[in-house]
Amino acid sequence: MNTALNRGQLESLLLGILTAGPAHGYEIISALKDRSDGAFDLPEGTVYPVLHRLEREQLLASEWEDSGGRKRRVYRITAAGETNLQQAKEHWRGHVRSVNLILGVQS
Amino acid sequence: MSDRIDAYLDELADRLPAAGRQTRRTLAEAESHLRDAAEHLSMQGVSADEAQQHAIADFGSAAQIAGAIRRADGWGWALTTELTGLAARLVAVGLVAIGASAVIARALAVFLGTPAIFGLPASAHPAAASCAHWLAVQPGATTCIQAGTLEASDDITLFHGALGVLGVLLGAAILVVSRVRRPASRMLPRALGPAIAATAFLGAGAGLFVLGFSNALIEHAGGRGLWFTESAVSLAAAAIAGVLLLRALVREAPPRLTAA
Repeated sequence: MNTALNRGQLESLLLGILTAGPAHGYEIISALKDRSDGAFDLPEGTVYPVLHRLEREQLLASEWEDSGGRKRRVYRITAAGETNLQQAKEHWRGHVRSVNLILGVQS
Repeated sequence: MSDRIDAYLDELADRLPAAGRQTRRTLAEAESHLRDAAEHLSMQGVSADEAQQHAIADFGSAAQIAGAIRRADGWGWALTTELTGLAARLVAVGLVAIGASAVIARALAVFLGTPAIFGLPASAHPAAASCAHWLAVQPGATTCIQAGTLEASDDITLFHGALGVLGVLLGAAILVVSRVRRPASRMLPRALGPAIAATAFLGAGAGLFVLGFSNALIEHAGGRGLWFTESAVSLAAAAIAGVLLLRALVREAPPRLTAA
């Protein structure tokens, strides 16, 4: 099932993926697809502008690395990013709980 | 076989709104991603050409990526602020030109006589109330036309001079704002401002000259000096803008390829 992401959700997912450790864009996007079981199958290139914005907001940091003869920009989550992710998780839990209560879904 | 990824990156580069560090990084990351994805597909047995095709399709069209970049980076807002800044600079320069014209016209009036610069047209038939007002505020004048001319001289110098001062203040404010809030990258070409200024001032200069010339032919009276002064200042501003335009064009010109 291909699921659309609301504004802010993709940012949280990217931060969440990077809690596992630094990764370059292709790895991040592959993880997004794999870990969502293909649900978040968005145009891969549209993720980069979001990564850049998160970096500008200092939630991520990045640097070029050479591997296998190819230069790759490797991203890692910052302390501010970790804090932001915790807040996003709390917000998400509250949101899911509220929706479940209305829909009668047992969580 | 042509490299589909190279062609795609060329298309993407054309769609990105500005050259600069951010664009260079976007293109470098896009290439790295596409080649990783194509390599991954090739390892699964897909032909090299097909692998590139699939990698590009999964990455998204150049239009999609350019749109996503604009949305994420707030480039629409950045472009709006840059255009607003450019418009404000052009307005400031225009106001300063009006003020400078008034000052120069006033100086010329000292040598050529006030009627030649600020005089009312011969066909003017001021109302009695206007004449009474002018004669009251210009006690040195003996006729209505003379009083009207002196009043026009004072009013034009005052109001146009005030516009010039406003232009200087606006220019100073723009300078302060641009130093405090310097944009990370330029979206508009450097030549755009000088190109607009050169065109606008050239048009204004030509128009004002024609107005002054027709005034001289038809009215056979004073007052055209102001048109000619404003025309000369506009043409001078157009010349300065033209020089700046040439400099910007030379600076932004792509490097010339030379045969080995």
